[in-house]
Amino acid sequence: MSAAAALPTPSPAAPSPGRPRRRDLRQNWLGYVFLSPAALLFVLFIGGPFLVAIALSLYSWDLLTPPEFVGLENFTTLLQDPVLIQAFANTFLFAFASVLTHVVGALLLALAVNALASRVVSYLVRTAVFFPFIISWAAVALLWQYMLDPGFGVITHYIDRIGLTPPDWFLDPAWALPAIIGIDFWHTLGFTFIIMLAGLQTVPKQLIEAAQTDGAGRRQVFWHVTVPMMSPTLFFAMVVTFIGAFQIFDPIQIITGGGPDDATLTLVMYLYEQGFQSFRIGYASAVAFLVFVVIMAVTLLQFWGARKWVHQQ
Amino acid sequence: MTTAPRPTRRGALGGMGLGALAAGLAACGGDPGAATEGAGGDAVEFVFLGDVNQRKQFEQLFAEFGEQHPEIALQAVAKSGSWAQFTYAVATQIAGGQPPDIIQMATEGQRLFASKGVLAPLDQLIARDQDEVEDYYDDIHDNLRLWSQKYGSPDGSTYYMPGGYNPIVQYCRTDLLDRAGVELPEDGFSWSDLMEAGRRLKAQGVFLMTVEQGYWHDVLPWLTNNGTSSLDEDWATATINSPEAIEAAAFARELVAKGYSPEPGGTYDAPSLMQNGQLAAFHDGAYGMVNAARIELTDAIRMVPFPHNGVHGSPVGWDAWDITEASERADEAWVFIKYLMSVEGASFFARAGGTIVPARHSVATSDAFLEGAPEGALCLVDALETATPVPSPERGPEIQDIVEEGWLQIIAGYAEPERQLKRTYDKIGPLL
Repeated sequence: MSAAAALPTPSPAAPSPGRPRRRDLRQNWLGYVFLSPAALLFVLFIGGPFLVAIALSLYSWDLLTPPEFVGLENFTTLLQDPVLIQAFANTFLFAFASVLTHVVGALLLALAVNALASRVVSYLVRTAVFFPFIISWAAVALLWQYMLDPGFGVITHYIDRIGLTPPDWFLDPAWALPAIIGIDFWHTLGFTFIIMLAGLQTVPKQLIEAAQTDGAGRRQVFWHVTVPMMSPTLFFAMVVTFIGAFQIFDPIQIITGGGPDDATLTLVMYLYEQGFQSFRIGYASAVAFLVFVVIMAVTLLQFWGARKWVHQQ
Repeated sequence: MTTAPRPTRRGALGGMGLGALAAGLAACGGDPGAATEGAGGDAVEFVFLGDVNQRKQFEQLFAEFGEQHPEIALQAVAKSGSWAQFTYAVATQIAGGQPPDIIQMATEGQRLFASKGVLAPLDQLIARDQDEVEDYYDDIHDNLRLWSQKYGSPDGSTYYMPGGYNPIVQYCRTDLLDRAGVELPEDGFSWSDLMEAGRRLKAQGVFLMTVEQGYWHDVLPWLTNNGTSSLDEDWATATINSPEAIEAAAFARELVAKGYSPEPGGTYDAPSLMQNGQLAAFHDGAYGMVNAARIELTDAIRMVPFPHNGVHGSPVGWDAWDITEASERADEAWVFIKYLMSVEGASFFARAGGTIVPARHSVATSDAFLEGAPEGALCLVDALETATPVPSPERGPEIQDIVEEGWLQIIAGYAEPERQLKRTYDKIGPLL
């Protein structure tokens, strides 16, 4: 028998992978029916507005007078806008810090909780860590404004009592963004923590036991078994955290309004200011498009990089 | 006979997709520039800024109007938030093709709306009811009429009837001042008086006054009482880095640095601090009277002009009534505006607990407004003599943010006044 004869001969009736055949559509019609509400919502609330926003970015429009087509002028203005550069830098700094602190913090916390012998304590810790995440940003922002108040804030008070001079967290340009990063860490860590914990529990015990039998220490097990096995989880957490961080708005709007002196001004805050305070809808749409492009680019970059370090089972 | 082609599944799915896309575009995009379309519905739609507290007073006013003019259906729509948020909400409503008939517009949005062709000239209606309008103009301060025309008319036509106004004055708790041995001057503290009062009050563990960064509420009073403002009279050039402005900012910072004022940037509430005996004075417009009543200290408070540096002044904002170009009920809308202008309407609103000074002098100086107010409330009326309109060019909200941020850095001690105000000036320039 020749090698060629050993290969399976494609049947003329076999479906090509790219285009579903009419019969498949007939067979799968129920699937399309179930998909249609979601597809409709997507078109109504995501796809449609997205296309409109792209179109608006080519116009100058103040809501009150008819829009005027300006081509790429909004985008050329973007490139020369010093405030946008500041907002861009702040956003990246915030996103980078968020990814780093959330992923590392959540992983360490998940390892600790996973190692707890007592189920009761384990569940209590899980609840305590996740609890801030279910509180609305508005309440969290107010809570931390009180905690860090320069006059009567409890944290300010205790820092003062140990003999240090607390900064005016939200007034000092050097401290405002770190303070927001800290608050975001407290609020959102629980989400990443639960993802990490779930990922950690999928690491096969047999692999760990096998490594330990071969004489691997704790550190070696962690780096050579746990981390590779958890790499898809780590990758997911990094992508999701970055996207969320890049869109941060609520706490900044409530606590600092982008100040002091633009120190906490993020891209989405700037977009909001331009569109909803300055009536520059076209320019705000251009900023929105920029946010989309950056998130898309960084996410693609993360996917590209993932091929080198994410372990596929 | 021809039969209609039977729709295929693919066609139906495609149609659904296109329909949804079209609906999405229609829902999200609205009809850009639809400000010229007619307002819908049968009622005269009056849009006003009103939070839960103000809304109650307005509703009483609307009910009273309804009794007098049952032939006119009035739909009053409250939008809450700041004036900037209100302006944006109204602009969005107009862009969505649903312009109201009357917009109660504050100083901050008057130039913007008049310059965009959204409003109808009122000249013909004014000429038709000249006697009533003259009666109103005769009873309001000339400045209100002049400013409305100067800042709210791009072409010489009249677009706004000025309404109530709000300057900033000082609300002082006299028992705390007495205990500290501070005498309250009739015409308000001079800045040197203020420092001495602060020193004495601090010795008693009481803050003198608050120093914050609100544009109209906190920044402009210091500037206008030192003979300057954030922009020039035509709102064409920034003056925020003038020597007078720098001096004012440095003085405000000194009050904080010496501990006479609470640290800015916190979450304290000035009237509550005063209620607790920790604060001797706060400043506000007519809304302060509501706060004085809220903390049940109306009898213990005396109102005086804002502290001055030899020059008396105050920022002032006022609301104004207009009719939109798209209104199909301009005549009925005008009847409601005339009711708002009348002694009866203004008195009713003032008595119900309005938070602005009535435009009519006769009402502002009557029991309708002054009954139950702290002693010295007439200083709100007198302030109009020397007041400066809140500078509100078309990109006012951005300018306001920049000024507030810069000022906050100064009063918190993170920036030196001269350098920071120069930066603020540089940022404002391109927006004018």
